[in-house]
Amino acid sequence: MSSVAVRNNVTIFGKGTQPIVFAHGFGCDQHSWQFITDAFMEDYKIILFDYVGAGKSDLLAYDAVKYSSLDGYAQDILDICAELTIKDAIFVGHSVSSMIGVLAANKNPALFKKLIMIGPSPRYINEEGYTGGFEKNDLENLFEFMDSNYLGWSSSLAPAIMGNANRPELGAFLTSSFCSTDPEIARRFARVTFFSDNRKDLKALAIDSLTIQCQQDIIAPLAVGEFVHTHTPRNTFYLMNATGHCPHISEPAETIQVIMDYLKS
Amino acid sequence: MNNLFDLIDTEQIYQHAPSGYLSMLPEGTIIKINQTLLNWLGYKEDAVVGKMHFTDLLSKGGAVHYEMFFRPMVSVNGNIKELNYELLGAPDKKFPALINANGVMDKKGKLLAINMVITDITQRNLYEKELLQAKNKLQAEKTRFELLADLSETMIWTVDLKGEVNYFNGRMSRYFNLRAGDPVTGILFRKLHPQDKKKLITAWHTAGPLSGAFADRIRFRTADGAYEWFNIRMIPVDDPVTDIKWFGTGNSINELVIAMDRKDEFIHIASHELNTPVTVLKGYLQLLQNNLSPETVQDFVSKSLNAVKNLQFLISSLLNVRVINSGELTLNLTVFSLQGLLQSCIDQLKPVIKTHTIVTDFNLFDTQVAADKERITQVIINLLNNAVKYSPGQKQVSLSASLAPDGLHAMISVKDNGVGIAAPELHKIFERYYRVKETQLINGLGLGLYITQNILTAHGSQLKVESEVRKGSVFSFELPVAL
Repeated sequence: MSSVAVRNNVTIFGKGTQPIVFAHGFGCDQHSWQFITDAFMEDYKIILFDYVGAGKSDLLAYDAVKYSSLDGYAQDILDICAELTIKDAIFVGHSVSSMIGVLAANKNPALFKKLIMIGPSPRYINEEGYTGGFEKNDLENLFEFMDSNYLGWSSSLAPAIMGNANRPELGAFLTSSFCSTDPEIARRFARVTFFSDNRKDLKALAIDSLTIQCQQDIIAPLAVGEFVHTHTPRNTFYLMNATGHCPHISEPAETIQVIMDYLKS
Repeated sequence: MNNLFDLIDTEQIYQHAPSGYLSMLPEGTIIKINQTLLNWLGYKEDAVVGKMHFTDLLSKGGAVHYEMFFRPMVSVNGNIKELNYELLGAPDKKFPALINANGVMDKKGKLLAINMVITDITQRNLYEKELLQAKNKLQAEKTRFELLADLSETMIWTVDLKGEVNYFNGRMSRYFNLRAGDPVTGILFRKLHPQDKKKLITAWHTAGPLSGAFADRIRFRTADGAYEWFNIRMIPVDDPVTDIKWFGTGNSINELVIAMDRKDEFIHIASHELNTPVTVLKGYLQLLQNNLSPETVQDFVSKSLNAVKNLQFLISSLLNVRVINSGELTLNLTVFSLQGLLQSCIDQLKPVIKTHTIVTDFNLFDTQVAADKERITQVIINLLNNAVKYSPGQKQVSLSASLAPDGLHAMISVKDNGVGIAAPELHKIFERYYRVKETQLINGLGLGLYITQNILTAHGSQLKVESEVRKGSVFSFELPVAL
C-alpha cells in the first residue's frame, strides 16, 4: 500500500488532541522544527512531514509536472490531511510553506482554523509598485550559487544516501541534518518558490492568520511582511527581535512564545 | 636570533595564517577578522569589525543561501563544512572561498558566535566548474544518444559480462513491454521460439572476441502469442568501463519472411499451373502423331490451341505483374460505349463458361466512358471468371452496370453466390500471390485481383469488395463518364 503517510514521511506525536501541522520551508525537512515541537507536546497532536522530494519522502513520487507549481505542494498537504482525517487544525508554515498553507486553506477552508506564517512572501521578485526584495538577476545568482555548491551538497548528502541501518551514529546525523534534499529537486523547488506569485490568493483566505516577521530578513523583508498583513483579511502581524529567515532555528524560544501567545488570543 | 616563541606566537599565526579567519555574532555582525582575510578583501580592520555584517561580503544570491542554509545549519549542527561562497571586498577584490565554521555555544546549546576558516579556492573552483560543465555535457550527450536510440526503429541493447541485458532502447521496451530493472535476458529467453533457443545458445557460446559478431534469424513470441521473425546481430565489445560485453541490434523481418514464403509458394503454384496446359498440349501432339482422321485432327488441334491459350494467359499474367511492379502500366484511353464493351465480354465468355449463365442488369442509357478498352475488358473477364470459379455448384453469376445519380460515374459490379471470403482475409486479397486459405484447391496464380486492382488504380478508380462466407461476393468499381 502506498499511503500518503509513507510518501510524505509523516510523523505524529504529542499528548493533546488539537492537531497542529508544521510545514517546513524550502531546502529543509521536518527536522527544522526540532527546537519548536517540544513546547507543544503536552497540549497538541503534532504532525510533521516532508514534502515530496525533501527529507525522507519517497523520491520516486516526485513528479516534475505536478510539483512545477506550489499547487502541487499544497496537494501534498491536502492529501496528508485527508488521509489523517484532519480538520480544524493549526497550520504553521515556514517561508514558502506559508503560501502553500494559504493555497491549501483556500482549497479546503475546513482544514485549518488558524494559519501561522513565518517569514511569508507572496512574491519574491520586485515589480512596479511592489517590493519583493529580489531582482531576477539576484535569483539567477542564487541558482548559480546552488549549482556551485553542488560538490559541497553531495558531501552533506552522502550519509543519507548510504543509509543508516547498521550505523546508528548516522541516525543522529540525519536528525540534525535537515538539508538532505535531493539537489536536483531542490534546484527545481527553488525555481518554483522564487518565481511564484500568490498575492491574489491572500485576500481569499477565510481564516484567522498570523504573520511572523523577522528583523533583517533578506528573503522576506519587512515591506513584504507588511504587504501580507495588509492584503490578508483577519491577519495579525508580529515583528520579532530575531534576525534572519529561520527564527524557529536561530531563536526558538521567541518563536514558540509568539506562536503560543497567538494561539491563546 | 629570533626568539622561538616569536615564531609560534599564536596571534601572529592567527593574523598571517595561509587562510582567512573571521568571527561573528549569530546575527552576522563581524567581531574579529585576521590580516590575511583583510588583505584578500582589501579592507582595513577598523572598517570591518563591529561595522560590517558577514552578508555584506556576499552577493545577494550568496546572502540568501547563507540565510537558508549556512546559518540554520550552524545553529542545528554546530558547524558547517565546505560551503562555497564568493567573497566580495573592495572594488576588484573578490575570490571564491571555501568556508568551514564552528558555532560557539553556551551550556544550553544557544549559539553565541560563529568562527570560520576561509580558504581561497580560485584554482579548485575552476576545476569544479570544469567538472560541472563536463557533467552537464555528459548528461546532454547521454540524453542525445538515448533520444537517437529511442527514435530508432531498430531494437538496440547491450549485455554485460554476466549475460544480463543492461541497456535496451525505447523500441525494444515497447515491443517486449520491458521496464528498467526487469530481468530482461530471462524474459527474452522465455519469448524465444523453442526451435531457436538451441541455435542461439550455440551461436552465443561459439561467438566471441575471436570469432567476431554473429547474426541470426530468430523468432520471438509477441503479445498476441504469435511468433515474429527478427534478424538479430550481436557484436562483441570489450569495454571494462561501461561493463558492456555485447552490443545487440534487432530488426523485425517478419513481413520480409512472410513475403519470401509467399513468393516460394507462388513459384510452386506457378510451376504447376504452367505444367498443366503443357502436359495437355504434349498429350494431344503425341496423339496427333498417330491419329490422322480429319475430325480427330480438328478436335485435337482445337484442344491444343485451348491449352496454348491457357498458357498464354498465365504468361501474360506474369508479364502484367512485371509491368505493374516496374510502374510501367500505361493506359491507352479512348471513349467507348460501356454497354457495348460489357456485351462483348459476355460474348467472349459464353462459349467458354458452360456451368453458369451470366445475368445482366444494365441501366446505362448509352453511357460513354473514357478508359483503356483492352484493360477494362481484362478486368471484366477476370471478375466474371473469378465469380464462376469461386461459386462451384451455382447456376448463375450477375453483371450489373448503371449510371450513378451524379451522372458523372458508371458503376459496374459482378456478383456471385459462391464460397465468399472471411472478413479477416478481405483486405489481403488484392495482394500479389495472395490466395485465400479455404480455396487453395481452386487453381490460380493469386495474381488476378492484384492485376485488376492495379489497372483500376491507374484509371483513378478502386475495386471494392463485399463478401460473406457461403453467401457470395460482390466486386464493384466505378468508371468516369466521358462528357
